[in-house]
Amino acid sequence: MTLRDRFVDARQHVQDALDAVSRIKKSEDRVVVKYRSKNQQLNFMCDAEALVGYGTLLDLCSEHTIVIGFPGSAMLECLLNDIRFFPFWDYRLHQQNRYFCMDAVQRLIDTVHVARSGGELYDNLVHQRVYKPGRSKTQLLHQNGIQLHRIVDEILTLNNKINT
Amino acid sequence: MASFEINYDNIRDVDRYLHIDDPDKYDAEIESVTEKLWDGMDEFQELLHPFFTTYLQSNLLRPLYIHHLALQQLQAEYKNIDIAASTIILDIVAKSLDIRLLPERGFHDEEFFLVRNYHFSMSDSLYRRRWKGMLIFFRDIYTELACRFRQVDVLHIDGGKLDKDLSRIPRAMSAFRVPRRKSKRLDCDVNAISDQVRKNISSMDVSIPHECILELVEKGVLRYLPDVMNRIGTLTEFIEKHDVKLVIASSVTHEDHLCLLAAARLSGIKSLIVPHGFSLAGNPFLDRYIDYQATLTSIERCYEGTEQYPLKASWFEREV
Repeated sequence: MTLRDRFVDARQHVQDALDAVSRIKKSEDRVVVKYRSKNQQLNFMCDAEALVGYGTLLDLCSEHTIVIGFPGSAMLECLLNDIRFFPFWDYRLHQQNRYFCMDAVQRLIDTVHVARSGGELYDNLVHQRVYKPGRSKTQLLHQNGIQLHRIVDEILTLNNKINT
Repeated sequence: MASFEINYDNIRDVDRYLHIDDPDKYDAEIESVTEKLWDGMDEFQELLHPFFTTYLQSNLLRPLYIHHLALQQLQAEYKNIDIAASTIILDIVAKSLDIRLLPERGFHDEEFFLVRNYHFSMSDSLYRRRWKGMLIFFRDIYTELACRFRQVDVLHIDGGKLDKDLSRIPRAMSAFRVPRRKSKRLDCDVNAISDQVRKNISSMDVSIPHECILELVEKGVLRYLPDVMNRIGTLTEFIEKHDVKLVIASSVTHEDHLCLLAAARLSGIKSLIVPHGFSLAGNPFLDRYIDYQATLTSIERCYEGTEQYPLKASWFEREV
């Protein structure tokens, strides 16, 4: 939240996403709004079918699903599973909030198309634009990732050597 | 001029009445309040700097500013405003602007994410229920005994989704199992720290009345400060007593996790932060506060002064 991004603006953002979807959806398509919690649902109430759950997004998806949302964990989960995810977030409204790291935001928008408005979202949906040219899901996660227990082992071994 | 009532049906619409020319000015002011909150604390300034700051600026101060400025504009349009549905913030603003608070009004703080649950809070409802208190008492005794026979190298807190990854670490224990008790490890005067915070706020150049910010900080921050300092103390004692070598936190904004990082700092052991999801947000006051950071992607924020590790998290191994 910033003074440019009030509650009413955030709610309008949800409605803008639904409007963009209604312009491209076919009659047989099912549109679901998935909320993380009941309180989130209360705050962003809309007319579409609603489901509430934490960490359950992938259970709702198949290879035909299109997901629209904030570029967070859900985006990574979907894109890594080849589910088309269209990030929708007006990051310009958050430039004055130190909580958001604008360097990280820049790296994100260098990698994927982040729609800032309903119009941009509609364009991305129609043209199926997810990744920026030359980018793919291989840029999303570290390719040389190490499991947590191995990282811990490395740190402890290193510090043990320093201390002895 | 007609009357206006804020009730449950329109409480989410109040900020619609905010019309300001220079929103960035207020945002900069809010950032400045959080930046200077812990100034003048001597040795505790650095330790406390990451605490409550992101929660304060995002969840508390911004809604306070938005509601104060919006209700001021509503007052110019309506002679009488009644509040029949409220939050901690609406109440503060109403008192400041002399707006009528109906005695039977309902409170909806949880719906607006204005309530934070802290595991370290000694006065939480869990402790107030006798049978749960007894269970915790026996669990604490068990933990104490178990730690006498088993080395604990790593203390960690799972912010979510990391249970599998954390369970693979040998000689590790959740910091939530470290008993909550009174600690004398930190030699600090919490009242003096609170007074300094009040002094800091009172001397700031702000656009809304100081009293509003002071009351909000009192209810959202200072109320928890004794428990925060105590928890840092108990965790530090545990780390020193059991020769813990590393702590792992998985949230950079929640005080349960920050207490663990602060305890590591005080006891001079290493700290590692791991993400429990992908986030573009962070805690700007953790630069040079932690030793290691694991990230999922090269997109995430990297904290200054940390050695970086690329993480392969098991929750991404899940497939459709």
